[in-house]
Amino acid sequence: MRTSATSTSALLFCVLWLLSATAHAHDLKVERSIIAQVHATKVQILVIYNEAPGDRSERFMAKYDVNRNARIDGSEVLLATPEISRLALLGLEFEVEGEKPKMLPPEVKFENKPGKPVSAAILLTYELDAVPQRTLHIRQKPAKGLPETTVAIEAGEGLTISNSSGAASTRTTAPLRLTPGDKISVTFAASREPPSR
Amino acid sequence: MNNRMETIARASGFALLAGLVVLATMTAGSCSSESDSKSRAYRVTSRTQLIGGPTALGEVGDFMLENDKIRVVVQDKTYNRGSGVFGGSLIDADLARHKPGNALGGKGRDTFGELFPVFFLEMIDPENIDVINDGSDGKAAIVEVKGRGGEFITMLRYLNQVMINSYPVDLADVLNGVPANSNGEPQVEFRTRYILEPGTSHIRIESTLTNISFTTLEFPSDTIKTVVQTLIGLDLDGFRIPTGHVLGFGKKSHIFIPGVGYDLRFGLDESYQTAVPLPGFPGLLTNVVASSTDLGVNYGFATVEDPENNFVYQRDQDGGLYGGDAQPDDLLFLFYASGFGGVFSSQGPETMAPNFCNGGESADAVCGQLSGADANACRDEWDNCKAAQGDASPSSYTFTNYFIIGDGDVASIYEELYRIKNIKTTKVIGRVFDRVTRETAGDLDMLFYTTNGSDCSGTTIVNQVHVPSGGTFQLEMVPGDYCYRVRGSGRPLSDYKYVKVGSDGAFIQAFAESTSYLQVQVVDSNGARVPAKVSVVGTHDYFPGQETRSFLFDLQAGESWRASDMIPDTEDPNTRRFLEQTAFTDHRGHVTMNVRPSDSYVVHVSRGPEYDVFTKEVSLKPGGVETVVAKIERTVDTTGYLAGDFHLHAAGSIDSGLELDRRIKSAAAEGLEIAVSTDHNYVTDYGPAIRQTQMEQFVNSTVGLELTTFEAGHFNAFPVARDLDSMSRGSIKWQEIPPQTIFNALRDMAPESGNIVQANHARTPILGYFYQHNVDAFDTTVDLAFNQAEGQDRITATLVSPTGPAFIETIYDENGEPLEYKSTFSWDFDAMEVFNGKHFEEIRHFRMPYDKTATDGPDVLPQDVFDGLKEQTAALYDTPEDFYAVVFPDLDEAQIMALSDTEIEEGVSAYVMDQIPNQGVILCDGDDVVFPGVLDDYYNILNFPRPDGSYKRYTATGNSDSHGDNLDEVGYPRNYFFAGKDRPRDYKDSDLVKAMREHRNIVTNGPFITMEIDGEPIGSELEASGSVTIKVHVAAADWVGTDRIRILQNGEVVRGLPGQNENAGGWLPIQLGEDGTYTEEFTVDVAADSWFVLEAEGDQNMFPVLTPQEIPPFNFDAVIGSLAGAFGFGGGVEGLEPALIFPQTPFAMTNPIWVIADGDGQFTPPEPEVFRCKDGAFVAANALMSLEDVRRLDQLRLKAAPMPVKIHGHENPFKRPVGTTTRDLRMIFENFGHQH
Repeated sequence: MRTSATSTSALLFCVLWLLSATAHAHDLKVERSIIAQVHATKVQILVIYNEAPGDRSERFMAKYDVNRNARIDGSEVLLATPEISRLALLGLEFEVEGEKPKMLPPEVKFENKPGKPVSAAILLTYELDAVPQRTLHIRQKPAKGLPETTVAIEAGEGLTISNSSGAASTRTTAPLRLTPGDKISVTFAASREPPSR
Repeated sequence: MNNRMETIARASGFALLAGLVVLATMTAGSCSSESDSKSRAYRVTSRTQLIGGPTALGEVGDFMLENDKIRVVVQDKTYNRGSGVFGGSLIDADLARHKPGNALGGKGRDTFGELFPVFFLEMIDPENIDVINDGSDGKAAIVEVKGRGGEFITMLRYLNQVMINSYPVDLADVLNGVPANSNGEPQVEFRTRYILEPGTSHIRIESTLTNISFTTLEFPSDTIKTVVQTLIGLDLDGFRIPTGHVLGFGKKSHIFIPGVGYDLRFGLDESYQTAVPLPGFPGLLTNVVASSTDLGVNYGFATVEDPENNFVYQRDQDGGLYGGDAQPDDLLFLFYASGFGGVFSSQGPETMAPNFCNGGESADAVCGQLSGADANACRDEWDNCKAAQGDASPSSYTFTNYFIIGDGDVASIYEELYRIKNIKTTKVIGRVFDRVTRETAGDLDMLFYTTNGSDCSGTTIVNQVHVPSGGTFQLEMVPGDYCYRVRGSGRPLSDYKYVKVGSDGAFIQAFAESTSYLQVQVVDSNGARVPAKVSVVGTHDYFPGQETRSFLFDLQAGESWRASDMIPDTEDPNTRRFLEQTAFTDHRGHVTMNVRPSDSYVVHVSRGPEYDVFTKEVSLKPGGVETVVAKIERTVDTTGYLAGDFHLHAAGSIDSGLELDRRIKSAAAEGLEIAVSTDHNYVTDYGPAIRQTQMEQFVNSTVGLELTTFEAGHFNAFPVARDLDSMSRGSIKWQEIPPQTIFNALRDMAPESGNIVQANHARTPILGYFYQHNVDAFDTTVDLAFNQAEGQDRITATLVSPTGPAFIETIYDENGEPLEYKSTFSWDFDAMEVFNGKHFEEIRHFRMPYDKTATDGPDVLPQDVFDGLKEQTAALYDTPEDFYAVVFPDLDEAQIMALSDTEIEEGVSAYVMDQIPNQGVILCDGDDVVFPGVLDDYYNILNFPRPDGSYKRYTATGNSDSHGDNLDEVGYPRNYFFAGKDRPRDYKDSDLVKAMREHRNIVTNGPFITMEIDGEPIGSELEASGSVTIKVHVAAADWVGTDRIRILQNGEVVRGLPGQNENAGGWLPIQLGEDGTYTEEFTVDVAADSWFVLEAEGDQNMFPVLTPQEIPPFNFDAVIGSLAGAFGFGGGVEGLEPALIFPQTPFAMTNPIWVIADGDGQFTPPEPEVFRCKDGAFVAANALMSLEDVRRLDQLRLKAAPMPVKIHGHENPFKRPVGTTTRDLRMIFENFGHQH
């Protein structure tokens, strides 16, 4: 069977990037905290992901700590990015209503505390055109085994929240605990200039 | 398969029957003196010492090994003169003929290509080649090649380096997108010794790997094993690096492997069906790779019996990977294409100790000779080195193989192999008679099979011996039960006959089935004799569901493939036609053919697409003679145009070997008027052959060259100068040369009027220029793959991109460190071959062939394709529940669980159907067009300026790339280029160059089409405003036909023509008149600068003049896929890929006409909107993702799904209080994990 150019490349023993399909989130006792910031020309989402202590954390380190220094750093971060991103974003969906953001490559950092389970920060940036109003939806799928998830949505400079089911102020929602099937929608509008004196 | 010949005691003594024995031994001439039987090794100092022959490449400075029986040449460490990469290979081989050569070279019959050892996939880049023993002491003569690791495929460089430790690999380089190179300090030394013993007909090849580093090396390293295992669960424990040889026997050698005989093509295909897992590989098992030729010399290859290190034997012992059949002297035959094949014979050790402490000297003595870091490392590692020595971890490893030279048949190879292995044999002699005439019959072949019994059941082919014209033969065989058959050209294969070969030999009286004779004389409508092609077409019986190769001809026995009409067989005999034989007349239109007898043939006489076809029914009886006088008429007017094929191979190409006179006859017979010789890395002149065959009236030629790199593209240049003083007659070095330098060198070979440089089959995998250089399939931009990729894709691209100076230009900073990597791709060529041979599948970007809305007809979406797409779509999701959540977005989990299986199935099917792209949409695999086509590339090039901002106009060409004359028809496709003359005699090279530069060219495999815009011809540029008048003319012979045309404007179909189809294809059906022509004018609006091209197609099957592409082209992807299958990979959707076998139907296109509509006097390229696979304009991307592309983060689609929201108040894990201040996420991220 003729294979495509991409799969041919992959077939030539370039396996380092291939994600294992076997790692499912079945044994999660993990936590993740999300801040989503909506700006005039971008949406940034920061996910702090804390793996549970135990087998899965140790397997992760065994996979990606190539030089065995108990840290995931340098080039090892690139290796680990696909899997940690998948774990950190499992079951989450983000939508900017009516728009098609352009996603930049995710950025990942590991905490690397000796003896501690894997902990990482993932920064996602989506570029957008400037519009007077936009709505961000964050949804967690109705699936089992997802991490405990807390999310806060904030307005970037020049925007305020105009409509939200959980707004704590004009600029941010209260931290919300998401359960499977939950959806949060926040609408942002350009800030009005304070009246001149 | 079980094709082993048992080893028994050698028969001692036998009687020769006087008068019936023809000596088939190898030496000619007088008794050998003692000095004659010695072996010799020396450096060639004069061309008279060379071997010579159709494919000989040896030159002064190379190394000769010879004795009284054979002679071989090992190339010096210059660039490889053939199609290989490095010197140091064995390149010429022949029997010793004692004919001194002359200033042009030897006068032997070398038809050999090349062979060299491989260590995994690494070869030797020689640094020293020496005569170790010149043989004057009566012992073996030895030439040694020593050097560092080199790649014949640079995209495997990283793979080789991690597996074979040729150079240190820094994993960080891979992760950081640094391409591989071989500039580092070698860790291992490669060596091969070619050893010729006196009086033998074989070369013993001993290839050695030595650890020259200071540490123990693992093959592969533990780190690599761990990474591979933890990432994909692939266990490489026990994997041993295979070693073997690349064998380039050449096209004139018909490869023979016991068990599959001559059917290597399908024998290998069948072996690939068996997924042999690691640590094995799929392929054919054999104890010998033999061959046969009709030139009096042939070649074979075998390995030593080595139970400890034989690759397949050990894999079988460890895990039964080869069914328990492997023997300690078996080879694994991996692939064979274009005259080159690969075998693995042995396996390397798992670890190798350093060699530096192995010489018996003290540390001071050894390390004292080194300096700096090497000296320190030597001393530091001395004790470790000593401790590491042992059988389990040798410091060097050697594997041994045999290269055998015979006298033309497989039996001669076996004879030498029996001597090597000390196998006792007995002599079998015989004579062959014609069954009807009862006269002695010769120029035949005897085939031998092992058998289960005297009824010849369960036969397995094992041997072949040639029967010379005298009708007698002899060969050595191991005693046993055999069956034999007789094969001859134009004769049916005889039935099996049993023979018992006893310890005292055997005598065979065999009968060859009789042939019949067909004499044909061809004249044209004026009564003049003209050269033509004679095709004898038969009708076979009806065997439903069976392929013709199972009943019509025997490939294993060496019979030729009989092309069929590729119409699905039915009871109607018109659906069961096959081409029995083809022949070409001489210049007087005459030919006599030997044809397999049959009561019912139809003889077709043709002379290319400008002539009609004459047919006549004949009955050919065994031993009988039939005569046919054929009159053919020219029906297509091509006044002013000459028919040219700019891509032809013959004897100068290792993968062709076609004699020049046959090449000229085939060209003349197809009505080709200009034949451009383009052998691989060899400059041929057809002129003498044209004169010799007296074809000057019918065909002329231009001297050309196909500069054939291994993996960086193939380029034709014509005309070029021919240098008789060069062994390649003027071809040039291409290894590690960037394209611009190659183009400059090709132009330097031009005569005063200049030449044309053409990029060939640019999208063929591995061999195509665009394919290898990652040319974008939409906007033709070019960049290195790893420059474009991100994240894990970048790692992949770094690992498998071609590397080296041919592909990459490294830009350094002021400190001499690499700053960036740039592609060396150059646009400085003149023509693009947009149609190559019969490869319709490489013309256009592959588009969705099926109409998902159709319920019947040929475009209906097949069920198995739909099922494959469904499977692939579901595989994009981690769990079925995730998938169903997408399929049923309005239902919650409980509601989904409540659905019946039928409801789920219907929902899934509806969702998948919605995802499937419409008919005609380009199909994508991730970011790439899954099967790009070169004509679409050509149109894209016409639409965009080149990177330097200039607008470059290339000429589109179509060429046969013919390597033979049977089923590989010359002149299809061909070019009609405007020369303003019609007689080949009047042609000059400058006519072709001028036509190409002016783009006055039509590409066609049959129809002759022209176009004018406002009276201006093809290739013109004109100014117009508002609208233009396009005049279209089509002419085709009856047997060609044309059914539809379309006009393209800037790559898009011009719409609104009366009668035009509304669908994506936009074809306009046409009807050729009684005279076979169609002419029409159209008015087309031109609002902006535009280029126009005319395309024409037909549905008529052009068999038998143009036979189908019936045997799937050998695809390197299939080889890589089979190797990759061992690693557990696979991908793609079955059925959703271009068809690779199909009948030939008419297709033609013109070169463009450019219209300047904006009045500025300069053509501005249209630069239309670029669609991308990634952006989803071609929505196939999702559905066609291979399994590897499961999770791309930008597919985390942002979908709305109205859900009830439960808000819970919980502690905020973020330390900073929530307030009105906007937090700086960037700062939080950057400080994450920062410890004080």
